[in-house]
This record gives sequence, structure tokens and C-alpha cells, in this order.
Amino acid sequence: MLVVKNLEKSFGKTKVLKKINLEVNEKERLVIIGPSGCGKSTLLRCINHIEKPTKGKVLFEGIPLDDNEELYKIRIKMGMVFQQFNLFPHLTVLENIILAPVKLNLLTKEEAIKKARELLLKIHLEDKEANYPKELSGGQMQRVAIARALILEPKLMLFDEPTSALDPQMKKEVLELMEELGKSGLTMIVVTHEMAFAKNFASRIIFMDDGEIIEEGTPQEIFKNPKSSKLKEFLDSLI
Amino acid sequence: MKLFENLYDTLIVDNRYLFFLEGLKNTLIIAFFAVILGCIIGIFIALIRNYCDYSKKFKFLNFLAKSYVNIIRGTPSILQLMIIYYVIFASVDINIVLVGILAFGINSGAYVAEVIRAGINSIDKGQIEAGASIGFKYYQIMRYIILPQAIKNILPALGNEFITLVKETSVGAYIGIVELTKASDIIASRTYDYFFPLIIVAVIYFILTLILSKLVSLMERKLNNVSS
Ligand SMILES: Nc1ncnc2c1ncn2[C@@H]1O[C@H](COP(=O)(O)OP(=O)(O)OP(=O)(O)O)[C@@H](O)[C@H]1O
Ligand SMILES: [Mg+2]
Repeated sequence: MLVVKNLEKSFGKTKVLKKINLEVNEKERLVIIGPSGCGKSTLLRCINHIEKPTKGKVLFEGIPLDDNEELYKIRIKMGMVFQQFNLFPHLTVLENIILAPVKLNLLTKEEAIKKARELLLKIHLEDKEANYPKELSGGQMQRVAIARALILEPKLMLFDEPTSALDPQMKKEVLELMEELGKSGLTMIVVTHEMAFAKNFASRIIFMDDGEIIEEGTPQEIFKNPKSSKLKEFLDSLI
Repeated sequence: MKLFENLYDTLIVDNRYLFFLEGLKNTLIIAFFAVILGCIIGIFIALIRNYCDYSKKFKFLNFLAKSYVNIIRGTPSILQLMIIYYVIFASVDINIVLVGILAFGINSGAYVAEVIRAGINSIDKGQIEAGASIGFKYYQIMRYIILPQAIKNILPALGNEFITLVKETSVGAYIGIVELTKASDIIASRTYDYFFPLIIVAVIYFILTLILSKLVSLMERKLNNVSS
């Protein structure tokens, strides 16, 4: 479904991503781990071209992402959830969720509202539709951000440290929602520092360091049998 | 008694107060239409610059827009006015108030462009990324996400730009536009007394800007209430 080919990204002279090759199949739950600054966010942002790759290609269902009309259609099918939520503060919860489908003419306003209310029910925020983002807790905001992506019925969802800005109780609400999404068969790529979650959730884990994919495998392989010294070092540093 | 006589000379004799009214009218007309022209130019320039920065395309167009802003901000407005009147429209018979509107509008456009750019740049970058991630194009991100938030910073700043412009139009006296400052000059040249004409005009400017700044702070408060 998603193919990343020889992807490279530099900021000025510093190479942040070096020849990344990656394939993600339908229904996979891919978790990316690695030390801070190794390029995880940059990789995720290059995948939906919010950041333009310096070299290499990203293909979604066989179609290359490029600076053309297709890009916008592909992004609709590729939801993204950010560490800082990035809800639209001037809009209510409901307006946040229906903005894209309505303005992109994918749904009528009535259809969008109906669908948004179903999603709000799913994320247990049905009583918050008229509230503004700043009236919500961090965990609630992140769940709204997920609903905002879900209303477009994405085939793939990208999560960039969705719980890093949250305290433990709120983390749980969001991680549970993500697990639910995974179970429902949604293809997901998740960057996270939550190792316990990664172990349970991932169908495959990628370990990155210094702009490269160092190792990949099942949670079992990554956590029980790390091969590279870098991954061992990284796992040791977590304890 | 002498003072009273001077005041009488300044205002009543030959209906001289009409000069003040004429001046006030022209000052307001020039400032008002110049700020509208300035907004049109400014929005245009700001969006060009922002789009070019965002997409990293059309570098030359971006350079032109940037140059316009830099040249206007880097030269005195009186010089810009004189160039437009004595050079560009040298051989054209054109209403001098219109010249004022054009000159101050072009001048104001550069400042308005910067005001709008600053307003847009004050919005968190994550908003643009969130907008892009839901499939929005540049204009949709601007229209539905960035500008509705930026307007809160932009409108009061535009109000202040209008206040500056009201005072700035006094430069128009230099090419003979009968705005407030020129009006006081005309009267003084007839009464041989500068005191009252200048004081009266100063009071008028002061009251005008006072009212306008009150309106701006009222607007600021309204805009802040809307969002909270
Ligand atoms: N816009 C940018 N300009 C310059 N350098 C950048 C930019 N964005 C990221 N970088 C650099 O690229 C490197 C990788 O950053 P990235 O955010 O992808 O790391 P990360 O793996 O997500 O880290 P973290 O776990 O802390 O989120 C870092 O060294 C960072 O300083
Ligand atoms: Mg990151």
C-alpha cells in the first residue's frame, strides 16, 4: 500500500534521512522507535509530503506523491495525528471534525455532522461537540484530532508521538483508542516512545538511528532478540 | 482681547473656517481611500510573498514583491509623493486629491503587506501542517484556517495603520493638496498669525486620532471576546 524508495532528506547540509526504504502493507501496524533526533518525525512528514523529500520517492497505492493534484487526494486517504494535536482553535469540536469533508465537497454538511456525531460517540466526547479545543483536556483534544482524520475514512494513518504531550491517565485514553483502530483493521504507522504500547500493538517494529533504519522485526524480535549493538544500547537506555 | 480677535480672524472672517472643513474633508478622503487601496495592494503582496515562501516557487515574483516593500519602507513618503506628482504624472492633468490617494495608497500597501504577513506568521506552523494533512490546498488552508485566526491580529494593526495615515497625509501639503495642514497654512498666510491655525489643526488631528484609537481598542476587545 505504501512504498518508500531511497528516501533522503537534508536540511541545509545536514542529512537527516539517508536512503530509507520501506514497505507497508494493508492492515499493518508499524511502530517506529529510535532515539530523539534520529529522524522519525521527518520520515513521517516526508511520507505525506508535508516535508518535501530531497531525494527518493513515496508511492501510495502505486501512485507517486508529487507536487500535483494527486497529492491532495492522497493526503485525504492518509490521516495524520500530531504530538501537539494541532486542532483549529477558532472552531468548535464539531466544526473541527467536519471542516475537511465539507470544504472538500466530500460530504454535505448534514452528512458530515451525522458522521461526526457517530465519531464523537466512538471517542466518548458526544457531550463536547460545541466546545472549543482550549476547553478540553490534552487527551480529549488528541481524540478529537484522531476523529478529524477518521471522518475522511483514511486508508493509512500516521501518528507522530500522539501521547508525548499527555500525562499518564490521558495517555491511556488515546492509546486505547489507537488499539481499537488497529483491531478494526486500519493501517497505521506510529512513532512513539511508549515501549509497552509498542510491544502489544505493533505487528512490526522499525528501529531508526541517525537517519537510517537499523533493524526491523516483530515486537518479539526487536525487544527479546535485538541484533545490532545500537538497538541494544537504545533499549538499555530506556530502563 | 487680542487673542479673541485673532481667533475671529482665523475662523470667521471671509468664512475661513470653510478651509478647515475642506482640509478635514480631504484629509479623511485621502486617508480612507488610501487605506482601502493599501489593503488591496497589501493583501495581494502578502499572499504572493506567503505563497512563494510556502511553495518555494515563483522566486522572481517573490523578489519583486519584497523589493516593493523594501523600497517603499526605505524611502521617505514625501519623496514618493513628489515622484508620483512631479515625475510620473508630470504631464498629466489629474486631480491632486487623487494623486494623494494613489501615493499614500501605494505607500500604505507596503506597510499593510507587512502587517498581514506578521499576522499570518504569528499563527503556529502546526496549523498549516494540520490543514495540509486533511487534504487542503494552500488557498483552503489560508481561507479556512489561517486567516480566520490571523484576522484578530491583523484588524487592530490595520486600524493603527489608518491612524498613522491620517497624520501622514499632512505631507500632501507639500505638493499643494488642501488637506488640514495646508488649510492652516493658507489661513495663516492671510491673517499673518500662525498660532490659531496651527493649534486648531493640531486639535483636530488629535481628536481624530483619539476617536480612531478608541475604535481600534474597542475592536480589539470585541475580537478577543469572539474567540473566548
Ligand atoms: N525544519 C528543520 N530544519 C532543520 N533541521 C531540522 C528540521 N526539522 C528537523 N530537523 C533536524 O532533523 C533531525 C531529525 O529530527 P526529527 O524531528 O525527525 O527527529 P525525531 O526522531 O522525530 O526526534 P524526537 O524523538 O525528538 O521527536 C534533528 O536533528 C532535527 O534537529
Ligand atoms: Mg519527533
